[in-house]
Amino acid sequence: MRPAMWKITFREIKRTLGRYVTILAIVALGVGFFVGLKITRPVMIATVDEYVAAQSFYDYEVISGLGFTEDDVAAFAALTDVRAAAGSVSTDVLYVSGEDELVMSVHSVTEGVNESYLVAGRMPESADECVVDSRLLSEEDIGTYIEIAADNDEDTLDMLCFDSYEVVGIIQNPLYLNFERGSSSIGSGSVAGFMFIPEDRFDCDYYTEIYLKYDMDYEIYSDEYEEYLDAHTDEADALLELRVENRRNVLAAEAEEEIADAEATLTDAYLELTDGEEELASARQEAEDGWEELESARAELESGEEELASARQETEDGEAELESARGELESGEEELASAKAEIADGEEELESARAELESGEEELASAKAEITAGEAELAEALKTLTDGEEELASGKAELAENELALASAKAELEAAETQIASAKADIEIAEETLAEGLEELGDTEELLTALREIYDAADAALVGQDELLEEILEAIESYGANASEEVAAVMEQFAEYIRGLGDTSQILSALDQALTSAEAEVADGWTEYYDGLEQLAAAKEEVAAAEAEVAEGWEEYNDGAAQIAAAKTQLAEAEEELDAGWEAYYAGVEELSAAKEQVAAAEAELDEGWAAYYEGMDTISDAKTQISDSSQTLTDGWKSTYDGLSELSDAKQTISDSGTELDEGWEEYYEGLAEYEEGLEEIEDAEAELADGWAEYYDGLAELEEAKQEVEDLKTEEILTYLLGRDSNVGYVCFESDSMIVDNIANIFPVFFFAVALLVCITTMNRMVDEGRTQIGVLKALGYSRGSVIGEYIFYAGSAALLGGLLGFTVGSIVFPVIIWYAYGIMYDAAGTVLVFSAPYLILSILVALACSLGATFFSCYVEFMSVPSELMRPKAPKVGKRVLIERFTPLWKRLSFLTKVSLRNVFRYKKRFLMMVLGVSGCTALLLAALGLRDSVLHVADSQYEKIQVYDIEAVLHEGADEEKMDALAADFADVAEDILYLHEDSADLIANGVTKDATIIVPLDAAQFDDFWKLYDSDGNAIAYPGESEAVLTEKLANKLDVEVGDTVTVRDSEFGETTVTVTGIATNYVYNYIYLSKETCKNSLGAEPEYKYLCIQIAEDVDVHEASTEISGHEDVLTITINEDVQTRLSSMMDSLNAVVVLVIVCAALLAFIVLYNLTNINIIERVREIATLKVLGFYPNETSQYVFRENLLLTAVGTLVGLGLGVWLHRFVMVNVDVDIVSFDITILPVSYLLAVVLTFAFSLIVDFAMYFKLEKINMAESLKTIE
Amino acid sequence: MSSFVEFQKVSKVYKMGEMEIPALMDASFEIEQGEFCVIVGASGAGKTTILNILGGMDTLTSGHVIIDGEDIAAYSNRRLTTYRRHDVGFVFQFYNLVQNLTAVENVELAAQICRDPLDAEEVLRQVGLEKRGKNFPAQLSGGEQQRVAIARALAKNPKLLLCDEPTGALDYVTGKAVLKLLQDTCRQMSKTVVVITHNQALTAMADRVITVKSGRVEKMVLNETAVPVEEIDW
Repeated sequence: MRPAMWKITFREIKRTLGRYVTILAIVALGVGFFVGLKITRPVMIATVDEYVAAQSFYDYEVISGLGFTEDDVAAFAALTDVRAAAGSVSTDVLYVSGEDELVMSVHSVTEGVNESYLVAGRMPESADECVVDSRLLSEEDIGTYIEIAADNDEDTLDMLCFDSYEVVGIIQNPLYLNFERGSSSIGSGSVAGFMFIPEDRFDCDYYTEIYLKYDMDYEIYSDEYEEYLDAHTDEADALLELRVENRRNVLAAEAEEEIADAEATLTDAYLELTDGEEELASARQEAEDGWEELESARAELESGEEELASARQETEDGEAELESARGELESGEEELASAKAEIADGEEELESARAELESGEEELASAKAEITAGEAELAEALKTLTDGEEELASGKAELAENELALASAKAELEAAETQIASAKADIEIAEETLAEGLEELGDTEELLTALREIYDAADAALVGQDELLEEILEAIESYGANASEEVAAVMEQFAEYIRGLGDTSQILSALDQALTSAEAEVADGWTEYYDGLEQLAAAKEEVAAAEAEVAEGWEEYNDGAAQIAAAKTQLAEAEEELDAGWEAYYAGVEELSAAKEQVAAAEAELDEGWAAYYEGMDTISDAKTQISDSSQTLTDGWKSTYDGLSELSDAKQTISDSGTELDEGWEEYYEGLAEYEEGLEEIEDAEAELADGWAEYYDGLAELEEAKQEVEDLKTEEILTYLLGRDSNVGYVCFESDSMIVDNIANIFPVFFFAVALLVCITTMNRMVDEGRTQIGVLKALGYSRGSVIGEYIFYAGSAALLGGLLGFTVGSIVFPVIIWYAYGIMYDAAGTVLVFSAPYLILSILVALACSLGATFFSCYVEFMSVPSELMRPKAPKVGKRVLIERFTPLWKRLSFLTKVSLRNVFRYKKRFLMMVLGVSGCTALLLAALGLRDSVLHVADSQYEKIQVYDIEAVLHEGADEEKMDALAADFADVAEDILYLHEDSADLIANGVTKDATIIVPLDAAQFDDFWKLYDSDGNAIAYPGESEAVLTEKLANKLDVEVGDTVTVRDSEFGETTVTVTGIATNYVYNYIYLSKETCKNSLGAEPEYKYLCIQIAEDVDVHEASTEISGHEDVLTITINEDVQTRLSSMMDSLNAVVVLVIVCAALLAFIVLYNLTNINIIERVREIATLKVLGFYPNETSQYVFRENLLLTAVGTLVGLGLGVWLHRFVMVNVDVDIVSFDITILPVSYLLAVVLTFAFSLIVDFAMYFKLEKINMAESLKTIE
Repeated sequence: MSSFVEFQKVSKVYKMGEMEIPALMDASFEIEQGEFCVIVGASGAGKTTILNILGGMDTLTSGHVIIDGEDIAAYSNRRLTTYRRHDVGFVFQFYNLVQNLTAVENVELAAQICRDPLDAEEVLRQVGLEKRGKNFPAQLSGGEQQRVAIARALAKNPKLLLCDEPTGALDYVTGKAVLKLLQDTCRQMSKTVVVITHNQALTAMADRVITVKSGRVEKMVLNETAVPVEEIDW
């Protein structure tokens, strides 16, 4: 093209950018959709391929019924082109998850094959570490423990070295490519997840499988891959055969050895059994003996008890006796004491008796003596009496004499008295004399004393004291005057002496001499006085004596008189006495005779007394002897009592001991009894065991035979060996089909998009060319070649298509796979997305895009290009207005406004635009509807399944099948949460029909009548299906479809125990999740030969109970292994499906783009084409809204038509997609909710209105002056 | 008393970026009611601008345009639209019929939006197309189309009938017939008709001739002796 043409072209593009972009966008959308969908599968495959290659996903899994050894692994490793061969051990175990027990697939870590992809943490290093499924646990769970449940079966537990494993890493493993974890024969039947532990943590002496990885990484599912493997299969097969043969031989040899051992063992067992029987017999004998012993022991014990009782009685008696003996003894002692006392008394008595006797004797003797004396007395008395009579007589005589003497005494006495009186008078005179002498003496003495004093004083004052002498003389004179004559004479003398004294000393000495002589005289005086006195006293005494004598004499006289009186009295008395004496004498005689008699009697008594005494003595001695004896006895008695007591206490001890013993005896007895019973039980057990033993023995024998047979078989038969490729891995296979889903869908959408794109191109280019008529004409006229004229349009459309194609390719091949893979991410593990550049698709899509645009351009331009310039430069004749069909309905037509009429006519006038619009808009609606419907269908799956079919609330799995008793117990235990319970037997099964095998779950309810309350069976028309009877079955829809069976056909069922039967299909039930075949228990029991095991409980919880509360209670029950809350499953499934929203959004965006492009394009063309009309209308005074309605009414009309068509198309598209999205365990309900229809319509109109709104401004801008322009 | 149409010092300046292009400068004239007025001028003289302003299709830069006592210069777009809707009838050079409506429908299209429309059939009959009413524009000749256009304008019963080169696309005979129709309409229905043309020949039939040149009203001549169309020739 020339530069001018370039300019024209670029200006054209710039001028009509909207139109250009429209082409670009629709092409981009078409290409994007096509490439995006087409590339998704390669991307998915590439992504998974990379993952699989990185983790060295196995090429072959080798399995043999005999397992493998290290040597086998080595042999496989040595195969041609084998990069790695790894022996692996795997098993399913139950592990504890909260209150549930779930199934975990445990694998050994393999090197070089099936390597785990570590999502977090690290690989296990120490013994009890493991790495776990990333779908089961997440990074936060690292450090927690996987606890292996204790109720796994022995073999499984034996295979694992530890009870719990620490989670050290979270992994993905290519063995589990998708979310499917497979099923298991244990626990709830479905595997919750997997874990890997190092191989040496398995206690297993063989490998369960060998994984081979060849030295190539051809793309998964590729032909190269298949071919490569095909080329290597034979060798691997051959080796497998060889190794299996080898293993067979080894095992056979081992088995034979074992059989030999087993035979030996059996022989031993036989012997043991016979021994055992003997033993049992003896044991039984023993037991019988034991029983007897027990019986005798019981008898003994009973007698012992009796004895004990009697002993007790005895003891009590003994005690009583002892007590009485003690009493007796005590009384004996008392008695003894009293006896002793008595004896003592006796002795005393005896003694006293003896004394008495002796005194008696003495008395007797004295009595005798008395008697003698009495006789003597009597004699004396007689004499006395006689004497007395004499005396009396003499007395009378004396008396008379005495009376005479007395009278003379009286006279004497009276004379004496007269003498005495004269003596007395003498004495008185003497006394007077004496008293005078005394007085004198006294005076003298006093004088003397005074003289002495004077003398002394004179002596003292001797020297010259004449005065004194005078004084003395005076004093003597004075004194002499007063003194007696002698004194006075003395004095005189003295005075004379003094006077005569010439000198004092002489006087004095004279004095002194005088004094001294005076004094001596005084002293003689005194002596004389005293002599006088004495004489007087003596006289007095003499008088007194005389007087006394007289008194005495008187007294004597009086006495004598008295005596005489007395004697007289005495005499009288004596006479009387004499008389009395005589009387007494005679009485005495009598007395004496009596006394004699008495004495005799007393003698006799005494004799008797003595005799008695002696007797008493004897008695006493006897008594003493007796006492000593009895005290001996008592002592003995005491001793024996004490002995008895000690014996008693011993006896008591013994009794209590024997009581204890007896109790012990009883205890022993009961123990013995228990033992006996146990023994019996044991015996029974032993018998049972023995029976079992025998059974076992026979089984053993049978087994041995079997084993022999098996060995024979082993030797001869073919071993089940598998050389399984990746196509036996669920994830791998599912992935292929899943990736095909998108591919299938990819085949339909692009066609549609390209159709729309083609139409957009055609209409646009048509318009372009229409607009460019003049220009073409001018250029042609100017001599531009046809090519260069055409070039502009070619370039215009081509560049738009190319750019759009590139854009679409780029965006499509990135966005689509990423989003779709994101949605698949819920099912598949491979991380990230490996983007794939596909040159073929690029070229193809670009070519198609170019073909579309250029074809459209060429088609549009053809007429113009062929026309001559002059014709071109004339305005194109306007297209003739046409009546439309609807005008025939005049009444209706008349009611329409002109603008509506115009719109209607316009709609039908431009067929291409109409088609484009309807296709575009309907495509948009269909996409929206399909996308929303997809969501509905998928979400619907969970809702439908758990709200329409499995209408119960909770499924619980028991540890083991429930019997009636257990069911009653469970019903009671769950009474407050569960309204109703249905028991199910479930099993996995293969269904075979028309050469197709599908796996399904067998459902067998305990009570088929109750089934409908829990699990609704209805066909696709919503009619209820009756529960099948014997030999009948109801299949779920998907199964029926896959197996290609209808009601009335037969299906072969093979359960997990390989029981097989053929049943007639009586109904095909709607079902969404999993595949079920419903059988009656009779079918199960009779035809399949499997006793139903009611492990599964469907529970309807009571209305007012919260489902999670109920679940807590139910799962906490000891019999419950695990539970599933349907509501939770529903929620989980729904949330899993939520990732589909990404796809839905993607589709909605595409739909919106489609709608925008088409509507914009059409509106744009309409406006440009009708600028004149619009301007005219404006000129005519149409208001803006009236003007825009004129244009947009058409849009809305077309949108309405397109939407209507789109709804139909959408339903079809949805069905198409759903049919292609074929997931094995899920059947999607091809349902679109009304709201989705509504939403699809509303969205479509919304898109249309958005475009209208945008175009409104363009309308506004149209100048009325346009109407005045000439027609170009 | 002011005239029915009065242009008072109307100026119109188009702004093309920095440039100001004066299309009309101080144009003043008046047209009385019932007059057949021809505005004549060469291409680019500004006669279309006058038409645009008169028809309420364009605003003016300055001045006043009094139509029947109202100054439409002060009108908003909306009022201008209403003004066009009720008071003005347009006849375009290229008829500007809606191709997808029949002749009668085209007339009705205009009639249905105004206050006091005339009967479409009747108007068509008046323009002599009573038999072509159900034909689409494409099925009509240019003259017929123009007559439909006139009918459409008349059906609105407008105060003012504006015709932009009504004969521009027509041959002589047809053109004459159209002009005749316009003149008859003016005379018989007492409509004020303004015809814009570059054809000086038409001035003869006008009551008033306004000559425009270079954006100015060069002269305005009242033609007391307007001749019937039949008598003029070009």
